[in-house]
Amino acid sequence: MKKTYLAKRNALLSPSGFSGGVLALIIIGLLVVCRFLLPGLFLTATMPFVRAGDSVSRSFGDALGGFGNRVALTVSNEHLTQQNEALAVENRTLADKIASLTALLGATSAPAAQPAVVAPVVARPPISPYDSLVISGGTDAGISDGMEVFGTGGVPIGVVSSVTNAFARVTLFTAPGESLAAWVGTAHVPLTISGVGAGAFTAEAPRSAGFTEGETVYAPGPGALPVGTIGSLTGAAASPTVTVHIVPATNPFSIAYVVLRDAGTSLTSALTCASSTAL
Amino acid sequence: MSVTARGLSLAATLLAVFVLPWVIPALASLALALWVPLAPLSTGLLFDALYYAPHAARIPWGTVLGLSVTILAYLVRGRLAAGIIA
Repeated sequence: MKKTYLAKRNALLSPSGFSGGVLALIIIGLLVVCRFLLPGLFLTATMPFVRAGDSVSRSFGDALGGFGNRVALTVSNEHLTQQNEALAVENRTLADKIASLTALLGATSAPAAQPAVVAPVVARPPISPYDSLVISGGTDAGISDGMEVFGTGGVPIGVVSSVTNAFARVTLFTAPGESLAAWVGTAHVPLTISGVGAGAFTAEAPRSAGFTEGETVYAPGPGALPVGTIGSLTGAAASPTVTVHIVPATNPFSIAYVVLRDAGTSLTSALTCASSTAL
Repeated sequence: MSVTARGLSLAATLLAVFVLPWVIPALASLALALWVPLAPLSTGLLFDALYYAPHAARIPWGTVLGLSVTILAYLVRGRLAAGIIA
């Protein structure tokens, strides 16, 4: 009886899946090589696509916003307007107080503020899977490796981790593995907060510290730099420690512009890098 | 799936890396892996080439996970495609 033999099909060399995937892999492999050998050229070539994607995602978000509940949006708008007016009044009050104290005590000998660089954000989470930003600004704009990055309101959000002539990458403090020495509330209780990704911090604290929800968490720097507020405290009732969940002061998913400056050694020295590579 | 459909799906998945939240192209490459096993690795490499920053993560997870899924896809395809009639 004639036996029919069919050779086992080789999954690696099957023609139907060979050309497309391998071609794409070769092209992307070349891009990866370009990133390491010619990082400036790589970012310059790819950022137009990233910017286009950012515009598309913003337009998409604006279009979806049109389907929102108009009543809820109106109420929210009114609430935010009132909140803004109240904060403006508080800001003026504090400015007047500073002026009065300065007149009473004399001008301080604090050094002039460091020059700052403003840079637009080209790519951010959640399009980026990492807690990192790509900003349109590099060595040509005076940005250097290790510069501190601040969001709206002077909130420190990260550090420049790599820079080319026209672009830079910023690692956010909320990236997994990043730790930051901070303090909490007006009592300045020290706390080490750790990034857990997706724009969030956590910390382990003794229950006896008496933290409460809503307390502000600060990072060291020129004055006290707020980085977030305590959102919740979790932990077993019998446990001597609680897990502090911190809501960042700036939403990394919606950052449009950042300010970069050298805030001095106090902020960078508070960073406890998890890796062996120093910033 | 036809060759044209595979090519278009792969191109759309790679384009989505620039436009959509990372979860969508990741899931799309996972679904496409049965027909184009190298799609997850290509997508992961593109993610890391664009967005991986020092200290943002210790491991380039895009590349590592993409390679893992690609190897798994080849194994699955090999099992599905094998056939010997004695």
